[in-house]
Amino acid sequence: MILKKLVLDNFRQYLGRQEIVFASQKQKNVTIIHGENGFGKTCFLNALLWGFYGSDGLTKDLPKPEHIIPDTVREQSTDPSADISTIEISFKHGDREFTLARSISLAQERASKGQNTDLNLAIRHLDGQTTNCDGREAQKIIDSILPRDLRELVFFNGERIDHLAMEDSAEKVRDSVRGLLGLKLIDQSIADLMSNNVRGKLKEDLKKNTDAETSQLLEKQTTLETAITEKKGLLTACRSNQSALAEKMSAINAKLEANREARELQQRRATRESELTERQKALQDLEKRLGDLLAADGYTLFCSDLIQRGKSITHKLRAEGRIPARVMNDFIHDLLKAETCICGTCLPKDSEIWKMVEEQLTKAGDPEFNRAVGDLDKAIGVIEGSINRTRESITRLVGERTDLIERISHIREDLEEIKEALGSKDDEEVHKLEAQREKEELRRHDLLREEGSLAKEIETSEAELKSLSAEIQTKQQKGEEGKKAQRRLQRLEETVALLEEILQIESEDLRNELGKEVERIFRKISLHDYRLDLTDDFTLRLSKSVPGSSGLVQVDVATSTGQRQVMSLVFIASLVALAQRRNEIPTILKDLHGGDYPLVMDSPFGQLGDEFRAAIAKHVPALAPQAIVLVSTSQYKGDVEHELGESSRVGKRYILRYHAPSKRDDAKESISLGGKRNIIFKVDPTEHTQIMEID
Amino acid sequence: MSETTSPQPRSLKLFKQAAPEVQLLVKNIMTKERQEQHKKNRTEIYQTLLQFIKESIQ
Repeated sequence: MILKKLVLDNFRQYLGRQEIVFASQKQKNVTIIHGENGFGKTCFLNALLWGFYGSDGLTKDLPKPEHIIPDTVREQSTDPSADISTIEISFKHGDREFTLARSISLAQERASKGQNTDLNLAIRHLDGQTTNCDGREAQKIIDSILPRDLRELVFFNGERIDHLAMEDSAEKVRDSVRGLLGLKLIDQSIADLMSNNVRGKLKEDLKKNTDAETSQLLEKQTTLETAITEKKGLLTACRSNQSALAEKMSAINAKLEANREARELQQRRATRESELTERQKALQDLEKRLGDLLAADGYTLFCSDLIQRGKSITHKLRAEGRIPARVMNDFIHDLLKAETCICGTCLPKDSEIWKMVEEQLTKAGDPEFNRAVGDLDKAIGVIEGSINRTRESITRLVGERTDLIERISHIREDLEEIKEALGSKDDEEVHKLEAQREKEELRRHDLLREEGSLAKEIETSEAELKSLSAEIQTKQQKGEEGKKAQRRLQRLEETVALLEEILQIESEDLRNELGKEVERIFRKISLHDYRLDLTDDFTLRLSKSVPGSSGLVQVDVATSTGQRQVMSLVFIASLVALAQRRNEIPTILKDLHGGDYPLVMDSPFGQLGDEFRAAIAKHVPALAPQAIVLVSTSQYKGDVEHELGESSRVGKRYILRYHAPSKRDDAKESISLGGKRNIIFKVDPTEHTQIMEID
Repeated sequence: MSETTSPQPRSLKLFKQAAPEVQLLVKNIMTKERQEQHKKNRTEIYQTLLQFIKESIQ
């Protein structure tokens, strides 16, 4: 998807018809839109989102999302069905060109609280033909190009994306990878096959053609499956709530960081919280290692008495000369059987001399016994050695555990202090934000508890279902129809199992590819010895190389909001890069093409520290096939202006000029860009934003 | 399945180990037609799937 043009016609603060053409050439792929805070940047981003997805697509921070028609128009309206807001977007995807038009009248807005809109989509095909579609059909096509749950990967507020780099978002990250890279088809196919309309129907066929006992088992299976599906639904909702909560927290944190009174403490809190997560993870790993060690070698600690007894037995046997035996009974048996001594003397059976040799059997040793004592000796040595090693390892791990617990407790105390310090600030906004934060934190704990309990219940029910399904499969069907129905059901289940495995494997392969991309892009923008990895469980992890006892070692670092913002941005850029070359990555899916996606970034430089600001600005043109950057003067001036101003890749540049009856004290009237003065504020009785192209 | 010149994906190896009837089902589900079907309504998709299964397993 490459954006060509956006037309805003009476969309919120954008009065009248205004259009903007985006830079869309390979070598000129960056569009910069300069807008001061409150002048309409977020509204602009939302114009694109509303165009593509309607009211469901709007960002959460947009005030009064149900008001699309400009307030002035609403107040002066005489014919609500004639007052209309429209967004038109022209874009290219693959070899087709699209123009969508979404509109809403004041009458519709009032009746549906902004939910109902009219949508038309015109598609111009490679052969020059144009087709048109409306409503749901048009929406399905848009969703197939960029699913709505992935919209925030393309259209985002840079200051709100840091949550993607949090552990809570692993599920979201995994879904994004599957969604943007075509694997949702497998996911959807599994769901379709397992639906009541497919598998349910096959089960009905079997029930009709089977005996009462199997029928009862099938009934039980259905009940259990329904319960599992319900619980899985609750689990998904719980996880998505966690993800939404992480997003909310990230917005609250950003506001605290933006507040002069709270900034320093909040930054310290962000670092400490990140450290806390790292330490808690380290503690979990350590406890697992300790548990594994106790399970495997813990018994050795209780074997000292046994070892002593074993040792005294072998010692006694040695003292008695029974081990090692000088002569083996096998050897004497061979002599007696052959009736000949090794010296050649004849040993006739039952003769005096034969009996004398036979008597030696009581003194000779048994080879099995000899071997067994040898093994016992060896085992005693191994266990004895292991006792010390186990004791040392346990002592070391317990020591590390105590140390970690102590550090966690220090961090917690520190966090409590920060909380108290923030609470005692004489600032109403800080108080409000802190109260919200506390509420969300409690909710987070509830959600974590709920997740754990649901996961456990699902695990138990699934084990029960597995044995029930196996029992059903072993039931022999008598009639032809019953046999056929059972085979179809069985094959369907095998197909689902295969698809699940394929999904798993292809997700892993994509994760590996994405991991390489993440590393590659991050290396370009990282000025220090940082390293960014995508872990096996789809978590983004920042580490740094530090000197260790045997050279440099990578250690995880606690991340700040700004660093997480960079990590998330790198992840999105990597995903977009991978989507672009999707057809080069091996897959079982047929005809999967690569796809271009733009990055539309509102305030991407907001929370970035100096270490990343210039590097990100420098690499904006290379982050995606197309980049649209909405930026305020304060974020633009300095490093960003230097890097982007020097880039030959900026193809279009606009300013948002704000009209209002009076100017805010801290707002500027004009800004200087590239040595030219640009008016950004005008006194006007009607409040609105105007888009102006600049050179 | 995938007809590109790219190296054989691990998933394809797995696919080849499955029973022929299962392979046929997966193949039918993963065709371009099936991808296109996601734009149509779900009832049609369910019917097509049931038909695939009933036709390929007699």
